[in-house]
Amino acid sequence: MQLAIEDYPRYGRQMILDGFGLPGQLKLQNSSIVVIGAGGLGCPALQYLAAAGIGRLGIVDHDVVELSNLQRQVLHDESKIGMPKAVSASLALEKINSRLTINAITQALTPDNALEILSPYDIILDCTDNAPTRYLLSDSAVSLNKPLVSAAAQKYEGQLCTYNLGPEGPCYRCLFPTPPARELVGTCEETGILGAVTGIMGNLQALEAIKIITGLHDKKPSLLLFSALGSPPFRSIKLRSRKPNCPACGSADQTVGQIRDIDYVQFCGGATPDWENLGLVPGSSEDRVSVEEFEKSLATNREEHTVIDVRSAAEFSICSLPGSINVPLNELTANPESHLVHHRKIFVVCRLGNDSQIAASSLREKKGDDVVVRDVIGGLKAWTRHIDPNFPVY
Amino acid sequence: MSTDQVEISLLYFAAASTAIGLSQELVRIPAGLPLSSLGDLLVSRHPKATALRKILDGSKWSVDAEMVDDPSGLELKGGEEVAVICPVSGG
Repeated sequence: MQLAIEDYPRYGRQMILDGFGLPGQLKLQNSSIVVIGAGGLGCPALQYLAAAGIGRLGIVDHDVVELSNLQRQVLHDESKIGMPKAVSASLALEKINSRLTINAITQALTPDNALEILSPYDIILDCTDNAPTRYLLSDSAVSLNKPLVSAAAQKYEGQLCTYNLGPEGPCYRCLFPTPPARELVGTCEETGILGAVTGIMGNLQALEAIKIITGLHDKKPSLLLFSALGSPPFRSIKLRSRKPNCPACGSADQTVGQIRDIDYVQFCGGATPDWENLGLVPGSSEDRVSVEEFEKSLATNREEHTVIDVRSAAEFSICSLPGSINVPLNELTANPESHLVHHRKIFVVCRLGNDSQIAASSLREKKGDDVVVRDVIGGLKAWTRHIDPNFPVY
Repeated sequence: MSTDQVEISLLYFAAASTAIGLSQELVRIPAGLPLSSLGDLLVSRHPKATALRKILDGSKWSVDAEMVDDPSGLELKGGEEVAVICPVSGG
């Protein structure tokens, strides 16, 4: 396939690079990449892959664009809220480069459809946000014999690794054969994420893919760790080659079994709890109060009440109820006695009404008869919904 | 002799760094400590980091920027840079 005459000026800046040239550009034009997740990692990755002239891009995402995405998911914008992310991203990419073929896939990737969705592409980019899909993608990449360029980000940190590259490249299971305990895995909503961090990691994924396609990759397996606040911010860890006894890619008979038979969610410790709804479970009326009752108590006998907010100091600084005091959950549970006030009624609040239950029960274990401890159902989110619509939701 | 104390440098990332509240520290260990025993030492050094045991169980060790597959086969001599690599899944 030749390069169209109007593409010479478009790609000239990269074609004049030593080791790239016209052959490099033609390789990009003839290649195909599927990006799983059009979020914080997928958006910047797709943006640079489209700009560089990858001939065919697949975008797999079943979510729709929300306002809380725009802080980091840079292909989406305010006019796209409510639109499937895969469609929104493909519209944005068409504006950057109208000469590409873009397939927007709004289905969720599952063990049943993964091989079918991924097989038409040369390289797979893991831009997902959860452990089950990461294992599904790794097993699929092994099965299809395709490189998997994987990145992840959390808070101020990121990881990048290309799995299953060449006959010796390790897979995700070689590195992490068992998933982390479910309660140790926080989502971006729970732990926070800086947009520029996902931007860096997504860009690195695009770069890895371009290096692989153009033959500029050294194919030595490594795990790159990025820590925005660290010094140095980047560290590269050399990895061993494929493990002979890996259940997925080892030389022994594959023991993970057929992908479609694996319950990846169960393997990773079950579904992510619905914290918002769990926080709304009424529980015992001796322990929990509704936001309405809570407001009534504050309005009548404010001086008899102590309100303890167990969110982190950073979250407390965003918004808080007047007169509430901040004791982060881990501090409170480490030393509940020191936060009990005699002859008082203590209300415990948090964001959604889950942490406050843990805190309240640790206070109740230590309290005397002169102290009453109640925690607020649904937390500050319920406060905004039912009491004060001007109280910020974040 | 293995009773000599030596110093190694620890790097913590992601969940390990959150649990311990540090991104790096110098740790004194008995010379010749197998890497597989370092976890116990760190857990007793950081009693407030209640989730640390579980985090270490799901993590990998790297020593001097190389991932270690078999921590029982590696003795720490002192001077190494040891990192706790936790899987991160967010994006």
